[in-house]
Amino acid sequence: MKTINRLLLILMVTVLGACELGLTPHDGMTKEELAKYPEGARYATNGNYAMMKDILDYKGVQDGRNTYVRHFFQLAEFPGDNICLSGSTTDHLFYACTYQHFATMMNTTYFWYCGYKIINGANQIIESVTEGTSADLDQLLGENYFLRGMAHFDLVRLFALPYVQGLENPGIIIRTSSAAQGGARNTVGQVYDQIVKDLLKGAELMNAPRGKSYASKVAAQAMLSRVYLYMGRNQGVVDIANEVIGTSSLSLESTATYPDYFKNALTSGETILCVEHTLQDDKVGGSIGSMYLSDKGLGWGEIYASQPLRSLLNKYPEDARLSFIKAEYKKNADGSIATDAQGKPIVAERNGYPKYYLTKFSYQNEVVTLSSPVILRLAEVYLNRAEALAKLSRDGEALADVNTIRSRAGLSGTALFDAGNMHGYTSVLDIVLDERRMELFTEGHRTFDVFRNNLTMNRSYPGVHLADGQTTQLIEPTDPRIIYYIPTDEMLANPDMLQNK
Amino acid sequence: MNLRKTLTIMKTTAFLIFLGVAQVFGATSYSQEIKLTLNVKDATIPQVFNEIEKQSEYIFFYNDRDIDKDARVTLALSEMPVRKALDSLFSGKTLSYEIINRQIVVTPVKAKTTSGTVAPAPKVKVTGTVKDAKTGQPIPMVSIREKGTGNATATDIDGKYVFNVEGPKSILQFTYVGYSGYQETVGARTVVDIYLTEKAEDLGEVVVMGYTEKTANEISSAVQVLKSEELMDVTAPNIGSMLQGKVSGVEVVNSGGSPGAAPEIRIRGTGSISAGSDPLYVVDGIIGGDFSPNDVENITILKDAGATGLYGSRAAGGVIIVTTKKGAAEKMQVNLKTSTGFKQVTNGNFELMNSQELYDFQRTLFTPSALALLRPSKLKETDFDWLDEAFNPGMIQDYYLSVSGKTNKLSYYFSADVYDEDGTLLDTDYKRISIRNNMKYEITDRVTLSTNLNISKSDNTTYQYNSLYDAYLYLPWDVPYDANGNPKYIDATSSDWYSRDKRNFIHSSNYNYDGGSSLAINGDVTLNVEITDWLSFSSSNRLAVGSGWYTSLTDPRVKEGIAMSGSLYNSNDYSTYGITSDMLKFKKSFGKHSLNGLVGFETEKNDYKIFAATGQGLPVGLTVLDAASVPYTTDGTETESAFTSGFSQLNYNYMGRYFLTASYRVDGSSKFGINNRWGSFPSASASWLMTEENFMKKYTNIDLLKVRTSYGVTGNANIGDFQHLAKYAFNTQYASNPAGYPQNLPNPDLGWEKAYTFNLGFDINLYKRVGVTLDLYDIKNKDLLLNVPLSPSSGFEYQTRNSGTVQNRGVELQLKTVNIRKGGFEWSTTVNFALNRNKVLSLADGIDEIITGVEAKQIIEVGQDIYSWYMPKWLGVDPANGDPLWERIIYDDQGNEVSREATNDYNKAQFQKVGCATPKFTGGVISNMSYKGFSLNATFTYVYGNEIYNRSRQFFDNDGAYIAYNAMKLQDGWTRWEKPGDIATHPKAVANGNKLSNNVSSRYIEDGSYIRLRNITFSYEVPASFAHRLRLSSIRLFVSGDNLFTWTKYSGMDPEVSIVGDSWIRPGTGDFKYPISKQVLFGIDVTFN
Repeated sequence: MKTINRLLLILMVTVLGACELGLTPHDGMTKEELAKYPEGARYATNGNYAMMKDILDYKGVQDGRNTYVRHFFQLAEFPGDNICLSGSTTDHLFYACTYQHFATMMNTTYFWYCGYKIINGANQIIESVTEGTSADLDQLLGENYFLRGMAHFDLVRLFALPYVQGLENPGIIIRTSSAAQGGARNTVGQVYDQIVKDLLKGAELMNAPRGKSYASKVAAQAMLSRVYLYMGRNQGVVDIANEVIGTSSLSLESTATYPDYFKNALTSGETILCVEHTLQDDKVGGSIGSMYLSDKGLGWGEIYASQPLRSLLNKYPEDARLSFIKAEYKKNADGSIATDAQGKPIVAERNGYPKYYLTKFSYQNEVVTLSSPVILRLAEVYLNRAEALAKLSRDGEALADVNTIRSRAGLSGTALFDAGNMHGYTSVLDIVLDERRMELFTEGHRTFDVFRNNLTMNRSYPGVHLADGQTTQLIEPTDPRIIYYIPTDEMLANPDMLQNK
Repeated sequence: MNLRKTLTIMKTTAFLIFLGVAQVFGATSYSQEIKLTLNVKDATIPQVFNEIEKQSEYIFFYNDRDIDKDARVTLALSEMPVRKALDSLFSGKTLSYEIINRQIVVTPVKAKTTSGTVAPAPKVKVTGTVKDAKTGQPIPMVSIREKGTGNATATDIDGKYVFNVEGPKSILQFTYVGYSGYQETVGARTVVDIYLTEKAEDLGEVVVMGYTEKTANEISSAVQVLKSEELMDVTAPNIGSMLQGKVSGVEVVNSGGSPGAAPEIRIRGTGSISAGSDPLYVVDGIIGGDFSPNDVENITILKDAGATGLYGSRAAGGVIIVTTKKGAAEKMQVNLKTSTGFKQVTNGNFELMNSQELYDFQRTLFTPSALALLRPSKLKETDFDWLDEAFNPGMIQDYYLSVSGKTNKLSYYFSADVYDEDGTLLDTDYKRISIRNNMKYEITDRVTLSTNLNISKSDNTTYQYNSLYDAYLYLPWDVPYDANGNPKYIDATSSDWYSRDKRNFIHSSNYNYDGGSSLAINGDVTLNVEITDWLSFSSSNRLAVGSGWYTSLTDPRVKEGIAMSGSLYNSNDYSTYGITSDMLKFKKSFGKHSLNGLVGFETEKNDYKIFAATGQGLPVGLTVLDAASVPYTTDGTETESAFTSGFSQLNYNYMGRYFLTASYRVDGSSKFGINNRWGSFPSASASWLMTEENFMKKYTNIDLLKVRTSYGVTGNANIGDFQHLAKYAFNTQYASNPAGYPQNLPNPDLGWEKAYTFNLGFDINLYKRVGVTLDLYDIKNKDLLLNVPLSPSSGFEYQTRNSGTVQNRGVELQLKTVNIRKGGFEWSTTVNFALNRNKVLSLADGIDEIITGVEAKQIIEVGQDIYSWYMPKWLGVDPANGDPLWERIIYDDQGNEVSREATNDYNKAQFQKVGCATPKFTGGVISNMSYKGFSLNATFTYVYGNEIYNRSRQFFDNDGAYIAYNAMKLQDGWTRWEKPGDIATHPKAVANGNKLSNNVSSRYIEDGSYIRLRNITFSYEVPASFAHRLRLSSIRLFVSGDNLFTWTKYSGMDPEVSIVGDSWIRPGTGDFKYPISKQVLFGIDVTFN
């Protein structure tokens, strides 16, 4: 009995040691803990870039299609005239292609959330890092100003009318505090002013560059050249583009290397900023390239180069940019390529639409669906300057910039423009816009380029965007559907929010 | 039998192990050192033994029958060595002793001195018949024991017995499963006839309540007990499925039919909005645990706070107490049960179009030229049934073997169970092996040690993600096989493939593999010490270790794997769970008052770790990461939580008529913020057993009348870890550098969600044939662990706060009746009915409504059910042009509603409340018929008044939006608009969609009511005489059918849709799912000694 009593006593003493309740997580740090480490601000800044490529939880689910970059490039490009959708899909990108918007679209909903999440992440750091502590910290601080400006810019372009349609139009909510909640939409003018302010501040602070995967002074300048262009501040565009183009570390790819530019964007001298995707970041079916290309069994390959884009580029078969369009040929039963009566290979079709794949988001490290999407590159800055110069009626200089781009594409001689050889164009601006289309297709510019210039989007070419039997589709810049509805989740949670028409 | 011999050896070995353990504590000179002082007067010999045990570390081993109960001894010894003391105790007795370390083994002198067999010849021969008290039918196989001896026998097939006993003082004990035990002194008789009463009315029966056990009489709260035989009709690897329809107020939903799938369970509605509402499982008195359904002795469902209060902290979703089988019979008993059968997928009313039907539908979508291009008429020649190809009948097998018994000090139960289920969908299966060993050792009269061990290992092959979707969506014009009958490789370059996605899941699933295995080990050690007659101590401890291994192989030869030359994902998780519950219990009676209670302490720690890696570039045929040529991803994480609690309970009863129970529990959890980590949970219940009152005695037809009531607070901590901290998540990288981003907003005030539960119940039994249990309840979940939505433009979706109140009120009725009992035929039924009304009473400050869901949304607003659908309202089809129509509400400038009109513009139709996913009532009907050895049992489950959002119709009933998907046939009463003037339910079909007609709207909301024949079992108990001839004690043969019939109007695959859902797909959404099956099993259940 005594043994038992003793055992009992030992048992009670051991078990009465209660478990500690003040546990801390293993897979993360609190904001306060993070601040204790000198690297904390860098980890958190890196996190803000990571949010552009990561699939974040939304409503408790990680949907493989939900990334900031994918939705941005699709929402920006698919309403345009460079692409041909070959069939319907349950993916809500379908409604971006067909202008059949609704406020519960998953892609706009996630993009809105993620955009503001990046802004919140940037605000957390802007609030906690003291300016002037060190060059490295100032660089990080500047990057966060850049990211905040960039995310506001992406949001205002997708959810608010173009700047040229009026500064008083409802823009988006400007967020400059991590604690802020709800709130009404600021005007388009206010939003653009804030973007410019952030980018200028970023450019001033960023003097310890971390490479092309991170924002830098020149990235802020390049972005400003685009923002000024959208605002119609043409002299501003020219001035700041001059600085970018004069930056010694940047250079255009050569004609020979240009076809490989996008798969090598991470290291190319032409890249100003890209969202780095390592092999681990390959989103496979959820990648941007997946809708544009199918190869080796990977990728859906359901959106092709439009017929007008192809005919524009086909004017000069030597145009290096044609290498970003890859025809899929029909195969015979034995695997050989099928040919027509003239011996020409027959392009394969899906639902009657020829398969001209678009490859700017493919083949990094030879992985079919991997790419580091380019946010800013030197060629765009040339064309930003060209457009501004054209609007300033400095036609010669504008055409010179256009020719720089065309020469790099392998065009020469009469294929280039001069005042005496306009190839039938009547305005230099039209030349610039077509050149932008040919150079920057699928890079998320076309729709904005058309509507911010108050032009009509002409989609009178084959594709599922047209109903069966329909042959023409013209989207006027006054069409309320040139922008997306504010997501229902925001409308419901934020009583001050105003919906788009 | 060899088996019996083996088990005897096992028993002996186990006993020797205990002796060995005891010896470790022994010291050689102990017997010389110890001195005893014994001062007893007219004591029995066992009393003296007890006294010696108290003064020393000795434990006596003896057989009751060897000790003369009437012998009295008087001793006055002081400071006497133990051997001397024993010598004087045994002087003049027919007993001798032997000291082995600290054990004193007492044996009769006769046995030692007489060589050969002993067994004194019995003196009296008693005969008799045992009959059922009600029917008068003889009962075979009744076990008869002579009290205090090892003497035993049993009745024969006619209920007759012959028994040789010691003499007139002998007491006969009669026991039989399902009947109350009975004992009678032989006296001068030689014929003793006995009537046994069925146990159903036995209110002295012990009900396991978790920490405590009570007799049914004492219970003042809403509990229901289900015994093993009431559960085991349905064949499933989990107990949840077996509860369906059997307990009023417990809603069980088998939302998926994949092999091994566990059902969803809700007790008395859902009171939480963001936190989990699952019931708490308590296995063998300890929170958590694992078990095979075949090992279950019984289940107690605790529904109200009076019962659950003791589990305060986590009982807000109710408690399911599981008690596993223990060795009971003194004779070793072996039970072997096998069932084998087949299952076949069922898709309810849902039917896809065949080739011709689909062609006829799609030809209306195209202009003639487009039709010729896209849908050449040769397509009609091919009619491939993808569902038939993907789903095949599967086999189910379950083998269960148990061996149990009891020796003098030790009871044992050992079981092994093998469950093997094929899936109906390609290559899916589930296998589980579980082993259980429950031992209870009576160290002394006052000290018992129990150990329970459960080991289970399961292997599961899951389906390829694409297989399920593609099987339903693929067009009948595509064939997955080439001319030689081999699966075709399909990718975007393949021509002549019309289905939307260019892949062939039949080809891929030939090579790919998804699945894994898991191992769970649960070991319990419980020590019970009766410190005094009225005070005892118990310590219950469990260590559970779980580990899982998951593999996902994408073969280098399939479409998905070619580009990276194959890909292999492996993950391994490891979880540990440790808990100790330590209690002091007391029990005292003072005349007509009796009082008992407990005070306890509990602490618990959970830890979960996972590691995962992916490699690419695999040699064909190899499936380990070592073989992968390219390392691709590595992931791993760990999380922890801890709970610490103190609890107490007091039970009082007066004359067995009035009962009072009060509990108080305090809990702390690591899941909560520093400011509100601790919560307290009081509860109280009372009942009045009116039939015990003298004034009720004259109402002889009222067998039982009892009124119960309870009120109390229970808690909910079912949220993820560390939600109270402002956490930067570091599960990412950027450009291969460390990166983290803000995951949640901090809330140091985060604390317990609490459910305040009131219950009023009545138990009435009449005419020994009718039993009614009626319960009324009101549960208010307050300080909800609510994910308060933030505007997405803040960068956060929500913050978890204690905010809001949800009420569940309801009525539960159970009516058990014996409808016919005549000439050996008996038909009884149990009707369960539960009505629950859910209502949001408040939300957070400044928040009037919370919208949940991504596509089909629900609104949570004050005054409404939490699962109210919220979407544009469908107004049908415009007869003029076949356009879809929704309701548009026109408001004036002040925001007041002016009018409502139909619109064909989806974006002009406002979101509004358009129905509710919560059923109006649910329940089940159980019918049991028996005649002689035959019985026919059926269980029906029913759900009424729930509205399902049939999401799968967005895909299958899309008016032409997805021409590359197959379409469902229109149900009876559905019509398609074809020409102006048509009054139709379905809009004009237009290629690639008609004005967003298949977008989310009330168009797809359907009545989800159903009645299902959940199970029907026909069984035959082979006559005992025949069984005995095979040296078996019983043989039962049965055939059982699950889900054979369902009556519903729902057009989808199955009206049994998830009631849990997630924040994306809301509860009540009918989605693509792995369909459930109809299954038929044959089985045999054999027992022998």
